[in-house]
Amino acid sequence: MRGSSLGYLIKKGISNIWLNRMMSAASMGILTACLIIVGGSGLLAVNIRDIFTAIENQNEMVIFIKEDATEEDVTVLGDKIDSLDHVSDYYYVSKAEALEEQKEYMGEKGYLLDGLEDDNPLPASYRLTLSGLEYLNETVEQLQHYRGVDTISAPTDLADTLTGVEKTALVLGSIIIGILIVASTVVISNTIRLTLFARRREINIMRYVGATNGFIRLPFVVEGMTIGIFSAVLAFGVIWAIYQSLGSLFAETRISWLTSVSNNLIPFMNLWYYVLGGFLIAGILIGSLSSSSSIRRYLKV
Amino acid sequence: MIEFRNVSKNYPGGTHALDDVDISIDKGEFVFILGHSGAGKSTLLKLMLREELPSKGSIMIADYNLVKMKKRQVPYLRRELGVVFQDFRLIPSMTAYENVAFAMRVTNISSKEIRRRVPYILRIVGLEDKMHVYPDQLSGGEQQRVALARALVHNPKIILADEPTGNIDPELSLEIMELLLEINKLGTTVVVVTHDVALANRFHARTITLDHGRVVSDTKGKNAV
Repeated sequence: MRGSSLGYLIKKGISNIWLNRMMSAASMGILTACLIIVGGSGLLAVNIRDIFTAIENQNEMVIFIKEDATEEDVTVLGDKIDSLDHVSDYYYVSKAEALEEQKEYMGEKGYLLDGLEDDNPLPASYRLTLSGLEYLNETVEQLQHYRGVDTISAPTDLADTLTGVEKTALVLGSIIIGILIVASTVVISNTIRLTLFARRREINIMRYVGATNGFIRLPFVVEGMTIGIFSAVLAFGVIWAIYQSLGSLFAETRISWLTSVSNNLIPFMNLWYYVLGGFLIAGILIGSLSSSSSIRRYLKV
Repeated sequence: MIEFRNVSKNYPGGTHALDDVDISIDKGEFVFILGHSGAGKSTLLKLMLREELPSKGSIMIADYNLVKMKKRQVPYLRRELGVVFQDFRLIPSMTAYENVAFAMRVTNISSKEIRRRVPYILRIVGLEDKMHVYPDQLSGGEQQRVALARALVHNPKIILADEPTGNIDPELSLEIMELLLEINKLGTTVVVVTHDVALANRFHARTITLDHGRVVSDTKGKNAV
């Protein structure tokens, strides 16, 4: 295709938007709204994820070993821990080491523990670091029935809650995003179909004078893509404004947890290219897909 | 140039639109295809434009085998065929010039070539003074001449005219027919599809008559070239 033809077809596509300005505006509105909701939840998710990661880094557990455990019990347990997939790091703390640690912890008053070496009340233990918080329960279950295991100290309740929240958010989020994508596709398809109808004479003539299918389709794909691009840029601007103003609103408030949230907010400057890039890709994809699908159905070219 | 061999076309529901039709039209001929409504004229046109495929038989047009050709070749076949319709089918929001230029633009022709060729073609059909006039300000005959100009821009080997004078006053019809004859003299094959016996008789050209989907007569014209 020569350059002047391409220019002509693109111009045609953009004038299609003007031809149907009400419907085009409606499509842009709904697509922008979808992108804002999706992008907003995305930003929320990223921030929550950020906080979760900080918590998840504390995914440690301690296995205390019984007083009467044999050396063999300890070795068997150590081998088992070593064989587990989700244990990223572990080490053994003997009774003596535990006492040392406790002394250090008590600092100046550590001398109070002097003389306990022969009658050490502190248990030996294995300290484990897991590769993720979600494996905590599983690991506890796998280990708690081993001989020599006394108690296991792990933040299992927190793990349950966080994993649960994450899963629910993921499922709900996917459903909402799915519905919104379908809705915008339908609306844009209808807009394109209206343009097809308004341009039916031209399309008919194009076919008789021997225009190729690519030539007939391109303006409509351009129309859909342009709607997508406009919506993406619009949604980006709105999201940016909301993010910034919420941040400063939280910072100025007297509610202390909101202030701390605003301090931990990921700066928009670190995120804007993901947001804009994601919006543009989504907008262009949804726009061009819905236009080509309606051309195929309506035109049968 | 146009070769129908044993062509039949049946539509679902048992309508036999064409029944074993043989037509052969040579390069440079001027031919009327005559028939009442329902005789199979529209089906014949649709087959020639490859909007539809025959149920049986083969069709060759300007070296294209219409039955075997690939779908993406269809636009190139249509550039060999200039089509004129009874209802002109001009785009009302475009001037005469733009209507003709549109046909070139959508077939990937350079702007320079368009600027050169459109005025030339409009001069051939006698509309050089009305290039920038919109269709609704033109008479029926003038609108049909714009349509003819549009059909001619690709320098087609064949002009297919479907009732070209059907919507035009009788005295202006003559002008259109004379224009078609002139185009024919320049070497283009012209096929005029019509139900108007008087029109066909007046020009003494070859006339193929269809009835109930069959060719019932094929008379050589008196002043055949």
